Amino acid sequence: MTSGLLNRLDGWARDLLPTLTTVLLLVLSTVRVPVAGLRSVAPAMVLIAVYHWTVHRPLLLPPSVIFLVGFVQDLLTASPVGTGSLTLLAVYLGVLSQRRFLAGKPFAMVWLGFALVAAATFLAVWAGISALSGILVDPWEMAFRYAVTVACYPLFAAFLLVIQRAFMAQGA
Amino acid sequence: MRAQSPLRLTMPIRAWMQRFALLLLILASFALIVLGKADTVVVERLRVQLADALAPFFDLVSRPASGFGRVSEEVREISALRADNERLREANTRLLRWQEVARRLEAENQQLRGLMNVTPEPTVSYVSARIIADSGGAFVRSVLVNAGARSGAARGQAAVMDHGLVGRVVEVGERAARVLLLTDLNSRVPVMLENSRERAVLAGDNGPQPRLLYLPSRREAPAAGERVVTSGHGGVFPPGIPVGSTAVAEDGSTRVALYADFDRLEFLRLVDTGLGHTLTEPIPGPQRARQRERS
Repeated sequence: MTSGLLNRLDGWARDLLPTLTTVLLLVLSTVRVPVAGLRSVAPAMVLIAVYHWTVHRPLLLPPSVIFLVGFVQDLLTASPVGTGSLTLLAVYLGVLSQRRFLAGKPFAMVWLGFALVAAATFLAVWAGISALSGILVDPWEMAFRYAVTVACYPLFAAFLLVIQRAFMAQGA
Repeated sequence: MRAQSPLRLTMPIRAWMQRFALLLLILASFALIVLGKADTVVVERLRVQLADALAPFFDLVSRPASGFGRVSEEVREISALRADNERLREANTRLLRWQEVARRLEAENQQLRGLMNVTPEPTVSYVSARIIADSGGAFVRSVLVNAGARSGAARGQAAVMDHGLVGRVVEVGERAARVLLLTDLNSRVPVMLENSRERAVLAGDNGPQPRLLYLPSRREAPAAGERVVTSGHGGVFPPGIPVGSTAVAEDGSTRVALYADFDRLEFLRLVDTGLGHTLTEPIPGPQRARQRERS
């Protein structure tokens, strides 16, 4: 009886891991690290988390959670509300439709997929904000941030994979 | 076989429901964008409340992070110690000479003010605050500091670092405040060229060097290296806060190389001029509505 309940709680906790790690990365990306030059080049960690979980465990990071994460991200970063949710949902939708090319494939393939998805995302965000603000925003900083995000992907993906393998070995 | 049929029926329905939910969420995102454009008051209140609620947490988490930053900074500094020493000694002798000049000028200034019966400038006080969170977003240049209304932070205050102006307080909660940096797209600050006293507006565009707008048209682009200070027009900032020096960009536009080192921001001072309550005019609509609401 109790072991059944514990089992179920255990299962729930495991199922919550994608959400928790995504929120953790969201917080990490907002915390201030005053190391010279790090400010403008912080990788887009939430994007990495959403991509990773959509590829590996799409059912455990539902769109509603992605929507909320995007919303909170917008509030925390003082970005125009809704843009974060929209971007992340678009990433989710895009990755989901191409998932058969990514799931269970070698890491390099998944990484390449991320590079493409991130390129589309950064480009769309850049165009969107330029349109919203009416100024052509400096694209170079954006390009740099994109490069850093793609370069950092293996690091964060490794962290997420370790968690995934340790706690969520069974199930798809 | 029969037992499976309801399941077979619900599967497509569930898939359809999920797709419908996704569509709904995407529509909700669009609705949020429109809402955020139309009603900034609600969004701002939400933002302030969230920042307020998370401030103690961010404060805690940013401590080890800032410790880490300090260690890396110290390692860098130790390696540059000798050169720094040399430079500082030189600067010290030069500054001592300047101090003498400044003292003489101050005395003279005071005397002249006395003779002319000038209205005294309002006294300025400071609130020091540590940066606890960084927007980190792609397009917003703002930071959260751990001083809110409780510690005397107020909307419109200038945020300065030892070397120069950093930004302006735009949102204030009980425990936290948001500072919009000079480099942000939406930042506009009235400034002037210190020597020629010509006014302009410093406008951020998310690049490292903000542009100078509305310089008097009769004038050619100012020479590079001229000092830029706040003009105090609009009554938001006290006049004379150093901002940066002019620089000419590749595209020919006049930009300002800021004095504040935006990569090493850690502590900010919020400048309280005591003018805070007369601040309603230069701030656009939504904020005014909010202030009405408060009173």
